[in-house]
Amino acid sequence: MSAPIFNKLIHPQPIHAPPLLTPISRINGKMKASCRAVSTIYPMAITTRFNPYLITKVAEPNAGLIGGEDDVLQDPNTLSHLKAELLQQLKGMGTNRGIFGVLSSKKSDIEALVKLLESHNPTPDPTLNLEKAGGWWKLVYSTITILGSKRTKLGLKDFITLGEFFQIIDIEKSKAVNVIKFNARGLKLLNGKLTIEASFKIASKSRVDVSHDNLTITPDPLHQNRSLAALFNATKGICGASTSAAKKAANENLLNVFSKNYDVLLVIFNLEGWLEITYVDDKMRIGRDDKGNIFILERSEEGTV
Amino acid sequence: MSAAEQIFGAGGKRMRPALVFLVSRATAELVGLKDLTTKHRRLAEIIEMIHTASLIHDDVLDESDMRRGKETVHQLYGTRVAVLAGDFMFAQSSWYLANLENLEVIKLISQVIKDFASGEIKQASSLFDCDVKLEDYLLKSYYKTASLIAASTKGAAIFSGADRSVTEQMYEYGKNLGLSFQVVDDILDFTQSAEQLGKPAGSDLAKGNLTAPVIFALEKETKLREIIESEFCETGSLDEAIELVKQCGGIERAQELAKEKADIAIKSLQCLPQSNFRLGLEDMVMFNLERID
Repeated sequence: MSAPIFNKLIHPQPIHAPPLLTPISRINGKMKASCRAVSTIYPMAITTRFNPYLITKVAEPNAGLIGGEDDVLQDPNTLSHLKAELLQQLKGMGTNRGIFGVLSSKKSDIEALVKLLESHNPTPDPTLNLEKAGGWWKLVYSTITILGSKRTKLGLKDFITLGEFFQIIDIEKSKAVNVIKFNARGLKLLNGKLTIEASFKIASKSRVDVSHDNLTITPDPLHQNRSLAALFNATKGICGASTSAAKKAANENLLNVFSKNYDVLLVIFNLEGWLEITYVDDKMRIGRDDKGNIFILERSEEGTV
Repeated sequence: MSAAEQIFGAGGKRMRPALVFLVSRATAELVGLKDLTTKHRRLAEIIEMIHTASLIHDDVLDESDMRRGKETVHQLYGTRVAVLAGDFMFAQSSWYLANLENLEVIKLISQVIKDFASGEIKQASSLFDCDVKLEDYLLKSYYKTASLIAASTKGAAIFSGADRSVTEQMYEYGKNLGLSFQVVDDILDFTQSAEQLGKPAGSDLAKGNLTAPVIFALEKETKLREIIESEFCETGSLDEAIELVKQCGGIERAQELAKEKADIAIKSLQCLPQSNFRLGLEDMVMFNLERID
């Protein structure tokens, strides 16, 4: 079934290379206000690194395009291809997730891929379909960095290793809980997590206003009880330290590193502002905040934190 | 044992034992001592053992391949052996130290081993911290380098039986010589080429260890701060940083600092009678400065 093909000119933007590419998009007959669709246009960087035959129309999300029930606005192959590319790029960084610095050329590549994906957003009005954004997510990349003296002060250079970053969105309560697991390297005894709670309010079809509720650091109670108890029972006779006192001391040591730099943490993980959900499907979500940060998350199974 | 042979056999400047002997003889004149005592000799051995043990451990921490032109102990024998060899030497030196049966010297040298650890921790906790002050840097350099040298020179004077004011002056001499020595080392990390250094230039900076030239340069150049804070994740940013340090006169000011400490060291020698040995001690100071002329 052939669909009308629209040619639209894209305004060249100063960043990135080739300014002009003839766009082609397949749109079903229900498209309204097509003129409005090109009011804000994202630039596009197409390089020979990606599939050179990928030419798409770039438009502002929610620009009057109505999501068709069965007829996809975008070629599903394109979408999965782009996602695969993106995940491939991100895999190269190990468990870094961008936090400990990314080469600026790589950063631009990722940003370009993100923009392409955003132009194929299958859920242009995510706040009307919030269930798509709800539940458990895992962070795979963000532009937030912890480098230099901040990194040293938080012990992230030598002592503390970061684990998974989970984001649990509760649509009923309009709350988001972000959990970052960490452990003291080499000392399997000392595990903990950083929990940042926030509330959100729908501000537009794709944007939510976020307010910061709480930031807490907790040692892992389950792990603590078992391993620490075992260790300190063994040394109880020698130094006369009771399990609870020693446990308390170990907790304090670990918390000290982080809590001394509570303020640093608050600045880094400041969620206050707004978040634009620029892409969401069953497996992936991309968001941009008011500070120019990009967040890429993958669907995660429900777990325990 | 062969691990110990590896590093002792590689030579090194043996500056510390030389200082012990020079101070021993220079102060011996004051009290009419004719020759070096066994205690002096033993002290020199202990000092060199402690110094070497710290080098073996440092090489493990820095993951260095070469030391004194030969492969490092951990490169040849692995990390476990290197750690054990270092521990063995620290333990042996403690035993010999105790057998010298001089409480003041025992406390002096034990303090040094404690200071080594403090210095490493201080350094590790302030990596990439652009707000580090010159005093912090000097304190860290004292813990890591000057403390041992000051303890050696004071210890030598104590064994000569010199009085308190002289031993204190010898301590000041050793301390300031040590600080001057460390500053010169830190300058050379910027000015020497990779071949001369035996490792890439700017390796301190790359690890986030901000030394005198950088601290001085940071006072002038904000761009440098940004590059350091980014941990040099951009290609070519380390070289850019090195250039900035040179351009801002960081090297020159560090040279002044080295000379300043050297002058204090030489002044501390005034309590000693004129002799070839005293000249030798002055020459040590000058020899160190010549490395950056």
